[in-house]
Amino acid sequence: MKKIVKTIVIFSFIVFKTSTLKAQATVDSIKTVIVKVSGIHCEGDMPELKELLINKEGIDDVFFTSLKNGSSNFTIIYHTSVLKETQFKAIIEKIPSCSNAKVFPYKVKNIVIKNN
Amino acid sequence: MNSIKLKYLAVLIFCFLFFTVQAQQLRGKIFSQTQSSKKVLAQASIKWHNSDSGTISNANGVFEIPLIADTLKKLIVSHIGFKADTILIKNETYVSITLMEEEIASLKEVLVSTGNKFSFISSTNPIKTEVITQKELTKSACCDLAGCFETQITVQPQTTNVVTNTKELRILGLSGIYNQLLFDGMPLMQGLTQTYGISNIQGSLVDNIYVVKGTNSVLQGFESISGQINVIPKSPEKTDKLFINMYMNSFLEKHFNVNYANNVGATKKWNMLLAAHVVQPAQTTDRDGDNFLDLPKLTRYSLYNKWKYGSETTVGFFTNIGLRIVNEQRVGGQINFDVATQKGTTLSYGQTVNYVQPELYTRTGYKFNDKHAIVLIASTHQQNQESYFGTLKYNANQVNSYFNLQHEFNWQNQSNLKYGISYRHQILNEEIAFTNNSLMRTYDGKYTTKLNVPGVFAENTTKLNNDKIVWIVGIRLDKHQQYGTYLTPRSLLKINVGKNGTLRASVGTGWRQVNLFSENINLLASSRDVIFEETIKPEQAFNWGINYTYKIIGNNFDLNISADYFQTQFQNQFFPDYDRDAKKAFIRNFTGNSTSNSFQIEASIRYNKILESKIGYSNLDVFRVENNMKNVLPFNPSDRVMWEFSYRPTNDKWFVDANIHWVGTQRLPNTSNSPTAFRAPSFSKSYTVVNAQITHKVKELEIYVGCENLFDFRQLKPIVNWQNPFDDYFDTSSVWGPTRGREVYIGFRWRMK
Repeated sequence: MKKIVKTIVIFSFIVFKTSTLKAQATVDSIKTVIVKVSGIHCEGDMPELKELLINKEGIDDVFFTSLKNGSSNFTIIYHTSVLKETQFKAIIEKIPSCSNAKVFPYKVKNIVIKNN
Repeated sequence: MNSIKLKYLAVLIFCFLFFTVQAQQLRGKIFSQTQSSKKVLAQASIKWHNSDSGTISNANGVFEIPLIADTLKKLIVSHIGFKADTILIKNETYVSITLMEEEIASLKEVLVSTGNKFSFISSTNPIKTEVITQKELTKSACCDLAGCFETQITVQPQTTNVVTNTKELRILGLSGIYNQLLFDGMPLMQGLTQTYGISNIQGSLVDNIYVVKGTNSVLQGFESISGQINVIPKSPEKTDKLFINMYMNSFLEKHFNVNYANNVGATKKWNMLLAAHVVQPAQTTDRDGDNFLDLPKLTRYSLYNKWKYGSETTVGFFTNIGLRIVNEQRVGGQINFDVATQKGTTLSYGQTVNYVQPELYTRTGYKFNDKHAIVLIASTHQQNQESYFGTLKYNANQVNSYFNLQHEFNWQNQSNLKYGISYRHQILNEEIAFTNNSLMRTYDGKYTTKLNVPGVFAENTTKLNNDKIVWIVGIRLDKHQQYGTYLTPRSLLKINVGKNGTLRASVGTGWRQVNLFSENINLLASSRDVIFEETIKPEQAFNWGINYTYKIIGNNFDLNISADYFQTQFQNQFFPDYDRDAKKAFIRNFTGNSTSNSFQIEASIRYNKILESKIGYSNLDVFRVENNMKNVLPFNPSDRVMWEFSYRPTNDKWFVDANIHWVGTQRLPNTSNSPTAFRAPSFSKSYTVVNAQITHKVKELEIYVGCENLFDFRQLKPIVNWQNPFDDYFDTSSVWGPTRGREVYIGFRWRMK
């Protein structure tokens, strides 16, 4: 009897834990990255970039620092269930210039994951 | 054996609880899909089906909502101008939802939602703001603005001249001239236009009324000493396409209102609202037998037109243009008074007021991006008035203009700076003549009051600690054409205390120019002579206040508790001195101690969207100190209690609304210098007024029947020396309670979406 109870408990726990882990795999979390972007020519580019990023799925908010040597640090708050930090390079570098849609001037210099 | 079982069971329960308590929030983002683009959608409403739990997307379209326990989780997402959507949530903890733009043709179907709220205290605004919604206004007849405050305690309508039924809206126990009255954010009710302005805005035009006590933003000027009432008319793009309202009361006064809204132009980007309002006079009524009409005969015609293009929240050009014209005639006095043949004569006593008031205003701007916007606010209005108060002829003309240009700048992601320039112009010409001067009054003549005030201002709003703290600091510098420069600093702070509490504090100064006769119409209506002892200087005051609001939102109910204390101290104040001589009013500045202390507490509960109840208590201590004596200002009840109740069954067919007001004793003007026959007691009686209304809804038609002052409490014969209206001691301003008694009314509202 003792063995049966033990087995049921262990089995239940394994099943429960597995399902929880499975659920956790899809559970979302919010992370923050700081992306250094170069190729910015004027102060007006940064709000434009911010707007384009905010209009992407999974991004909650974007902040940027003032322009210095053609670069600005963009702090991006995003959801891990939608985006991975590695995707930001592709996203930003595919954004065309504000003045010329055929030019893609923005380059990602580095991505730092901020400890939340 | 049993202990082992229990142990395993405990482990199981712990595991179950531990893992189920996790992940209770659903997060996501709302997008709008238009013909040209897909963008984040701010201010979208997100709520669970069959639940009160809901939220609104922020400026980035982001939202967070507690997950509900239901097995079938249906999330309803809606936004004005977009097709509402219902999404079934399974195991997701993050969702992206895109709302499609409504076809312009079917736009109105979505726009007409008036929301579920009646009145509420804004939890997001750093300034404590009571919002009286359109839905709240349907709880009573609310024919004009003065009648729209029956269900709250902050604003106290007070009769200033019973013959023409002139009223003011008091806040913190101070005269209505100390609160700033705005229409669509514009200062259109000032001086001459304030006296009758609060009555000539029809309730059916009003969308929301925002009421603020004490100090508020410097952006709208240097006035607003005791508070601000901002009346927002219905928005052309959100309101019904056609709205008709008719009303008649037991005195046979008739009101007719019609609003028409539509989008216009080839691109349908302009929205327009046209509103007409007509009042036809009541029959002759004199229930208290004083030979005077219980209510004046009122005839009014008003036409309002508003045009709107774009939105202040989206990048690009936006404009609002409003145009209104009002023509009104009031005839009061003795029941046999004939306005055509007897005005200005001593054959019969009567008061007539006839005026035309055109208004034009705009709020126009350009939003460059998330950081920068420029806004122009400009208005002009005029009033031409011809009137008789017995044998006193009063003709007046006033022109007001207001200009304000401001740059709005979001900086460091947490701060918003607004700064700019303003200019205020007013010229008021008044002509007073006596057609018969047996009373030997001496103040006839022409009076001109000018105001030319250029100003600069800046106001910064900073949000700290994840918006838990919001701090507004504002300052303005204005130059009066005669009295020099006035500095007006103001500051407001809002702190979220815990999950449910909000603490607000405000401090600041204000000043205003006096418009002697138009703001003290009882001077013209009384038989007193007016003696000028000094030139009247602008009034100045300092106000501070503190408020705490506690809010609990449950599954089936909302509970709000709010308490506040405000103090106003005048550095210079004007009011006619009526106490020194019963036949005269002395005009002088008062620089001594003049203070208003106001404490208010109220609680409201809403249960299952069916029942709503609110109770409020207000305590006022408004006084001035003269010769080391504390003189309490007349017509201010030190204690007032209001209880309000609404029942709206889920079938949405019958609504019942009732409110009870208990008004404590009020100090009355000192009449010890008058002959015994005209002396009034020192204090009024306390009294209770009960109002009730039943509304029946059949599709788009609402029929309502109500009764104001159900138990018919009346202040009998409120006019002092009514037997001899052309003699000394005649006074029409000594009104402390209802004078017309029970009033039954019936009306309907019909709308086409």
